Amino acid sequence: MNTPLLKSIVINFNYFIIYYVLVINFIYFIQLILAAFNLSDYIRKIRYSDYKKYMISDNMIPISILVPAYNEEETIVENIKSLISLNYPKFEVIVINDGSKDNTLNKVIQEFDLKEVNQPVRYRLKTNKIKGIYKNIDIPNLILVDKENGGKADALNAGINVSNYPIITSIDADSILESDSLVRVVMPFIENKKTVAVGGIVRIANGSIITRGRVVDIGLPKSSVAMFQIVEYLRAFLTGRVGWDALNSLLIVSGAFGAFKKEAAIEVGGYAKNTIGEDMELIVKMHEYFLRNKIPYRIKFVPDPVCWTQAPETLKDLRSQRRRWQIGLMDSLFKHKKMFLNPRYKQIGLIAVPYFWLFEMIGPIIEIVGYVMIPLAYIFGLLNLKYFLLFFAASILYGILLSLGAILLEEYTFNKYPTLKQLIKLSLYGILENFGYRQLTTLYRIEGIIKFRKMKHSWGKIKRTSFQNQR
Amino acid sequence: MELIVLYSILIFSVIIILLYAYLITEKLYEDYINRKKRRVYKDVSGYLDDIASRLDEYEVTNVQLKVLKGFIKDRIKREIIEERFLLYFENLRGSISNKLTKLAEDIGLVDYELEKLKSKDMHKVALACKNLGEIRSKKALGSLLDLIDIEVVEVKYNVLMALAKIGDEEAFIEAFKRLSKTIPLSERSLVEIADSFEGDKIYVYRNLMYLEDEFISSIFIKSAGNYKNTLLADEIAIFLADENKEKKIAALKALGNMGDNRYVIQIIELLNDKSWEVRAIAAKVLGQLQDNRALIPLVKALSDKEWYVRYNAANSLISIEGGIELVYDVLEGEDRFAKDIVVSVLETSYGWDKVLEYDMYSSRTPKLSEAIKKYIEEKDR
Repeated sequence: MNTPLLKSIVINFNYFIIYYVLVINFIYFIQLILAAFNLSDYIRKIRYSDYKKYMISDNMIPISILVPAYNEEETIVENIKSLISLNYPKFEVIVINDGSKDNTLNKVIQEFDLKEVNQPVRYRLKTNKIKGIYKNIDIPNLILVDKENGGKADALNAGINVSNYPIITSIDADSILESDSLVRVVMPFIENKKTVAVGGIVRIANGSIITRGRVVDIGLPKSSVAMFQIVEYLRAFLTGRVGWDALNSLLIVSGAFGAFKKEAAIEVGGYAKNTIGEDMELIVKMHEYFLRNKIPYRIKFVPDPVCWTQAPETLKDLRSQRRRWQIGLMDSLFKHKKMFLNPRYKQIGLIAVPYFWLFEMIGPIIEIVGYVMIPLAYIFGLLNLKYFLLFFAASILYGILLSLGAILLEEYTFNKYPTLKQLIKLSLYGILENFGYRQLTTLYRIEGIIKFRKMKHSWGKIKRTSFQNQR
Repeated sequence: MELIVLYSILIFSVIIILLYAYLITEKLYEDYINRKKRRVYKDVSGYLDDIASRLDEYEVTNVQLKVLKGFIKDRIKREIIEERFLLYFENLRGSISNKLTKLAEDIGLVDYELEKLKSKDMHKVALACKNLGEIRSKKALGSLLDLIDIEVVEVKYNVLMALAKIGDEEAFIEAFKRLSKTIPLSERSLVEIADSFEGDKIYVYRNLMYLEDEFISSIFIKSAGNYKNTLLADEIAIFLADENKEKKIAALKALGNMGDNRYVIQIIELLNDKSWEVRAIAAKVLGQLQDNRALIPLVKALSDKEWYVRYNAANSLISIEGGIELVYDVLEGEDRFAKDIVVSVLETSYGWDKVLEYDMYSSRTPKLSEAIKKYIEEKDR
């Protein structure tokens, strides 16, 4: 290949990268603006919401809380205690032990004095064998299901089969709900009968004080890895999810905290077992099913029912988590590739799915190639210094501005970190994350792309510590 | 190219700076208002509290009215007056509540809220509807009814809830007659609204239970059941024979809630209904009615082809006095599904401790616990 041609390819490719960076950041800014309006709407709506009335009403929809557990002996007992003391008129907690190899099952049985019962199960969704169901008549709203290992989705489907109530919510065994979170997440089902799924916000508990399964003092963690994730979560939820919600195009309801109409979940076949991104997959399946059959439906994100979760504090766990997220995303997008730019699926097919394909799935590859190609092109004299600096400054500055925007939205709306010191620390990490952390997570996502075929069916665990040991 | 990038960075930065500036300005303004509010809060709320606490004994004087009207003209003072009124209505009922409504009308608070109903901002309208409902002023009825056709769920909900709280029968009936089943509100929220009606409920139920629209009709049948007034039982029971499944289920639930067992025979007949949902609810309601005439039919229902019917029948069976005796017959029978469900319910709902307690006082052999264990062992084999 002759040199001018090579030079032309490299230069054009670099221009493509610059345009790509511009477009993606433009989309993020649109999301930020939409999110600001949507949040402002929500805050105003709270002023006349009747949710407090429903907290004690017999007309509140009963709910089944599904807690899939696989090797969760560190946190499961606290988590259950926190869940069964939630403020909600009528609910049940169904813990599904998915063949844990540690002491999860015995710990729960002993702590809550459970006895095995002969409860027949309606297998409306096909799952691996349920080995036993345990109950304590004095804690009637707690059910423990012991089943053969089949993955998180299989565990959730088993929970749906055992559940008694019309709304199900899935909560990770390492997460804690705020006391009125359930009421708030169920309100959209009360307000609009077309609602089939609702997602709540997931916040990072690292650094907060937790006593008896309750977050009593919200704080920021000392660990830098966790701090970066706090900024990242604010951006993902308060900008990303709220922004997509404004366009009625939400593709993800976090597995850590989401509520679903049971019949709708069963209608689409429940959680998909052959994926590790079962949360996204369920939502995409719902969109696909309801739009294909022209059934009116609504999927909502509500930004204040809070679920607190533990973020990984080591790079090893973070790597595993991000790899898993990327694999889940890709798997779901491949499964529903027919939705891509398909007008039959309205804004989901024309906006949301193409966005996830072009920017969330392919994005890491283009970003990393850009990081390698542009300096190389500069070193080999194919690019001038101005161009090189421009690309570098643009990608860093956009990132900083978006993070600061998300922090602003947080301060403006829910203000969970009210002190000036916290605002400064958050803003500082919003800047710092662009110098290394963001690039590192992009690499982890690339690893997810590479290992996609090999790992798309695994559970993917990270090491949890007891909430009681934290500050 | 470079220019595009530079401009985009510049624009994005400006947006963020503006957002920061907006946030800071708003926080400062909020702080200023709060400080101002704190300065006058004691005087305004003290003045109003004093009048409100004597409403039962004294008429409000013209001077007091004039002062309160003056408060309403000032934004901050009006906010305090509004807050206090909403607090009173949340905590006070009876004749004092009517006097407070009159006072809110006289000082212009109701007119102020009515004015907000004309806003194009739907959040403002919904909030005004909520406030008018809390104040319970009949003066708002016409304006609220005018809003019933607005296709904004939040406004619709708050209009209906306000009408429920104001308690005017005719206005409430008219509002529901104008709704259709395409209303996006969930059934439970509509039942909550019906349950919250503060006027003559019986009159409202008698008018709305018979609507042709089965969705609205079912809501009022269910709400009538929640009201638990036996005067309505005969009328509700008529719907047990209705062709519409929803109305039948609503009537079953209502009679179950009322605990009125005069219609137990009709309910038992519904254990053979062609709809499994009706059979399941009938089985459940028979447990609520605690009538031993239902025992044998419930044993038969344990063999229903639908799991929910069997499950509800088993729960009801063991909850009715004498039902547990019949568990022996079920265990001796041939139907494995019936045995499974009854054993499951004994363990999960009734409790093994109670089975053992029953055995202690029963002279029957073998003991029930032994019969159950034997069945489980055979099954496991």
